[in-house]
Amino acid sequence: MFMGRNEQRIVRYILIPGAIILIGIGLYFVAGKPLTDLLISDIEYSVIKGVPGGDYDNAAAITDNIFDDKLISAGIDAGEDTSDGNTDGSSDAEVENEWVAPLAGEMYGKIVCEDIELDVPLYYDDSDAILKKGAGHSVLSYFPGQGKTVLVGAHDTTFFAPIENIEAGMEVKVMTVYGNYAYKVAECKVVETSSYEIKEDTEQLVLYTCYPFGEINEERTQKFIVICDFVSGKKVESNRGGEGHEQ
Amino acid sequence: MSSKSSHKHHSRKYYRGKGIVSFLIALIVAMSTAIMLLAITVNLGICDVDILKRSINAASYYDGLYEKVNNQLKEQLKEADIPDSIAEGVVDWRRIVLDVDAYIEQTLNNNDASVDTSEFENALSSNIASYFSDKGVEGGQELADSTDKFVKIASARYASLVRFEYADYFKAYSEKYKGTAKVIVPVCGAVIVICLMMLLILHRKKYRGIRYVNYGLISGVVLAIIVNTLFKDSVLKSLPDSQDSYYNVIRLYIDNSFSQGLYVCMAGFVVLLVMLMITSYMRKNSI
Repeated sequence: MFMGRNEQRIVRYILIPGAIILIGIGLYFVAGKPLTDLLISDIEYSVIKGVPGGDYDNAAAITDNIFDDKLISAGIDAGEDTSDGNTDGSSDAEVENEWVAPLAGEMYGKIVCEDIELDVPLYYDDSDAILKKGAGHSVLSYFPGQGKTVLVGAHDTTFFAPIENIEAGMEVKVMTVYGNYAYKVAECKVVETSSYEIKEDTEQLVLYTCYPFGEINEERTQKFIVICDFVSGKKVESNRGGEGHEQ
Repeated sequence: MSSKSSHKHHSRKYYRGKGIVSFLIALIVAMSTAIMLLAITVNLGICDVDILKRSINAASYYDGLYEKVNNQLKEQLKEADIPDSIAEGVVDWRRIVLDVDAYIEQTLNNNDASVDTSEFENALSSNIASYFSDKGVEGGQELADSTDKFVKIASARYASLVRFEYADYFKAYSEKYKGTAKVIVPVCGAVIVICLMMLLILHRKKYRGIRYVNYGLISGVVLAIIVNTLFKDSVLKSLPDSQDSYYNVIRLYIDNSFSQGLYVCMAGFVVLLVMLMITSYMRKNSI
């Protein structure tokens, strides 16, 4: 109960800094965190933008028959297996079986449409928290390369604001950690409902956002939908994706 | 005795008020110390290009890139229905190291960064020509045009992979935060000095005033360590969970950058130790 002067001094050196630290942590979460979040988002943005090889098109598709005439003239079947022997030459060889699907909340790529200067990070999951950081891939839909509907949404006031200017025929690229995918805009339309039928037989990229654009109005029920047809990209297989059924 | 008799006695309310004011000043010292240490950490860590370069080496980025470039070229060869053995000897590991380093240097020195693909293009053209020559195909203009087109696309993809574009964004944010740190550090230093002076004026015995600076320093250093750790975890969690060599570099770079923060905080502890010794000396001599 009764402490000497030295003990009191030591206790003061624990209690007073302890109190200051608690207040400091509180202040960090109230005032400091927004500032550190700014630096985190700068790094996050740099990481996404700086992915090596992110700016090439699917060049292999452009060069796939470049030497066919020469090969035929040399008596070589242009479609034969030309690898050094590890693959069986079947179409299954094109499927990436070792692919690991991203987890919910994970950023796994970006969506780019150069014609409208759209370049946004892509996250798996489309919760409110995710939509503050970029575009959200609905967990009810499938991943690029799975041959089914890929449904991606973002806010019309931020990340998907440029989509207002998208037109049929424009190219949309989805660059992911496991491969790059190209799609072509087939149709843009305004729908009254927020549901969308997930197709399991055709790969389509569907971008959606609130409509009319730029209105801060909770009452908006319409959605602006951009349907893009698959052009090129590696096939992938996974038991992940489409974690649910019709949206 | 004489000093004791000349000492003016104040009410309990006065001492309590002085204690609260001293505590608030200690809080300001703590905040300034934490902000200053974190600004130094950002300056010496995240914004330090040497840490980025060391991380590139330590994460075996060049090996991963070499493999990626080779695989990409083989894939393109297969797509064109010619053997992927043509890729042998085209991609040079040493060349990749030089190209990546040159790109980073050029970017950071404000030069137009580009990748020299001439060696790659020459080797690939030569291998394709040899392949068709072995197959007995005559090398006419048509074959030369096809080879040229194929090589140009392969070369563009090679350059796209070799360009370490993170350096462009690194340069942008490091300049921004280095500039901010240059302002924050002296301002926080000045605030700490002003607080110290206020505490010295407030307390008749100077060592008691300095003691509140010590409370602020201890709290500031501990706060800086806590925020540094929270900050590092948030950045690492924001990265994709990929084992790609690029992401390994970034993870290592973030890790190393924030480790700098712990060294900076250790320096803070050394200052604190000196202050404690000064306080102890002043108290013993009743200064």
